[in-house]
Amino acid sequence: MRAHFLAGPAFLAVGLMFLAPGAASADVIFDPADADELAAMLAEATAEQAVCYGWNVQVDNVGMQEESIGSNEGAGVSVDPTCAQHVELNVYITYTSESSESEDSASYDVSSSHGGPTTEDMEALDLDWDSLTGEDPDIVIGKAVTALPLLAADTGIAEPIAAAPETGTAPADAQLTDDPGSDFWRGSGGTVLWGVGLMLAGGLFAWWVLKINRTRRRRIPQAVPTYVPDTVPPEFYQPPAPDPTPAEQPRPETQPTARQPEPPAVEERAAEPPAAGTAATESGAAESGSVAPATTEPAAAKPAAEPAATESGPTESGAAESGAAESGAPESAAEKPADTESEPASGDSAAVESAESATTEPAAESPAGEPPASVEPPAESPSAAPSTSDTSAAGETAGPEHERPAPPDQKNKE
Amino acid sequence: MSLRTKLLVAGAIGGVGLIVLLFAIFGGGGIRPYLDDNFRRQSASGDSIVYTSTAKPKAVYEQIRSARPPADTQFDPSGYFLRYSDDIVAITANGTGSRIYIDDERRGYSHWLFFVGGVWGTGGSGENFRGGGPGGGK
Repeated sequence: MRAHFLAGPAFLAVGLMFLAPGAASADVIFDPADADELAAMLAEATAEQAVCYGWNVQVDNVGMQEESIGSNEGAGVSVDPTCAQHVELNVYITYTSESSESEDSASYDVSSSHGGPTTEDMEALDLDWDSLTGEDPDIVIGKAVTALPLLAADTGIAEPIAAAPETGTAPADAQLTDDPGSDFWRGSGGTVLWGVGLMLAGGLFAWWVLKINRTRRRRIPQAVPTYVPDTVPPEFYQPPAPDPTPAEQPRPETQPTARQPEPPAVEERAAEPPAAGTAATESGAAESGSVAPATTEPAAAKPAAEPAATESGPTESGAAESGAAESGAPESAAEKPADTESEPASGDSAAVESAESATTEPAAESPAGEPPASVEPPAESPSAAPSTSDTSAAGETAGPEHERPAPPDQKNKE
Repeated sequence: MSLRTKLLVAGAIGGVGLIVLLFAIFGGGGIRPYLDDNFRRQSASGDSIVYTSTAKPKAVYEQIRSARPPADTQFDPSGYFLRYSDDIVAITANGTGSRIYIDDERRGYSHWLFFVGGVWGTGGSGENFRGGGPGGGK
């Protein structure tokens, strides 16, 4: 008796399980109520447009296959294949396990009869298809299914359905609840950010450039003279004299040749400070424009040296430099090979020395009235005009008070 | 590159940014000026204005959405509905062309309650698909 009593409900439960397969399959994506609403909407569209609509969602839930099917004929019922015109949305969702390295994936497509909407038409609606693998994939699937009749009308396989606004009074409980946000930021927010970003970038670049420029200015060391003498004789610097007349220029050039045969003449030069002094000033002027080393050669020796002056300028200049630059200026040393003619013999070293002292004396006299000026460019005079100015400067720095010993190289030659 | 050139480059970058910013602020506009400039006005009643277009509803929808992105969109087999901060726009078929309705949000929700009721607010017949059901899978 009891067994018969229990058999009835058991059979009933089993029967219900087999009788409601559609509702169970629709539950994967939609609520049963939502699925029915969607199917009803498609049925209304089919009635007006004579086109069958439906959806087919296949879900791979970590290996378990599930599906959600519906059409204008109802939830759980696929599209009638006998319809002359049909449009169906197909969605494929794959869920992976949480321990899997693969991500969830989803795709969709639109299948329709000839001339109907395509997947590209659905993509043009710009729906949020990324939410297929999110929490609520039914929202985007429901929107897409609802848009199928619109796409069919747009492609021309169905007549468009017109809508008209309601003119009656809305129910009292009809209230907007969603917050749409700001239209300005939604539409122009990206552009505003770009503009602000570019302005900041320009300002930062300008600030960085100015900062680097200031840093470079601070790092530039002060110019340090290569040589700072303890005492600067007044003859250390002699301002360049104006360019001498051409007739005056040959005078210094004759001196080297004059030195060689006439050592006594060198002594005479020493006794003629005024002429030598003027020669020194003239030589200073000549230095600015020529290589002539004759700055240290007094005028007395010039006539005798005139023929030699015409031989070669560089050789004469080199001779004067070698004779005057006891400091061993490299330029005078460089010119020494060319100075073979003019280099004094061993016996001429003394003449050279006296000549140097004589030249330094006039140089001392000429700028005597202006010792400070001669001191002003100490850094420049020794280095600015290496070849010729060095010779004159070197000769001048010797001064009357200081008789520099002959440089080692000249001594060796002597 | 000299200091002056670098500063000129910096100034040019900042100037371009300023132009872009001014364009974003003053070059845009709301949905109403855009509809006024691009569609033919058919009728108006207060804030409720109706425009027409010779293009199909889908083309009009894409044009308006790209020019003035809405906060939300809703579809119905009979039209497209766009939600803005202060307005609701509806695009429906009008023969071979389209008709565009714009209302303030309160009146627009009342006019189109059948289509958007229960989705953008409360009330309505509740027959519109809203979604947000059990979700999928996991």
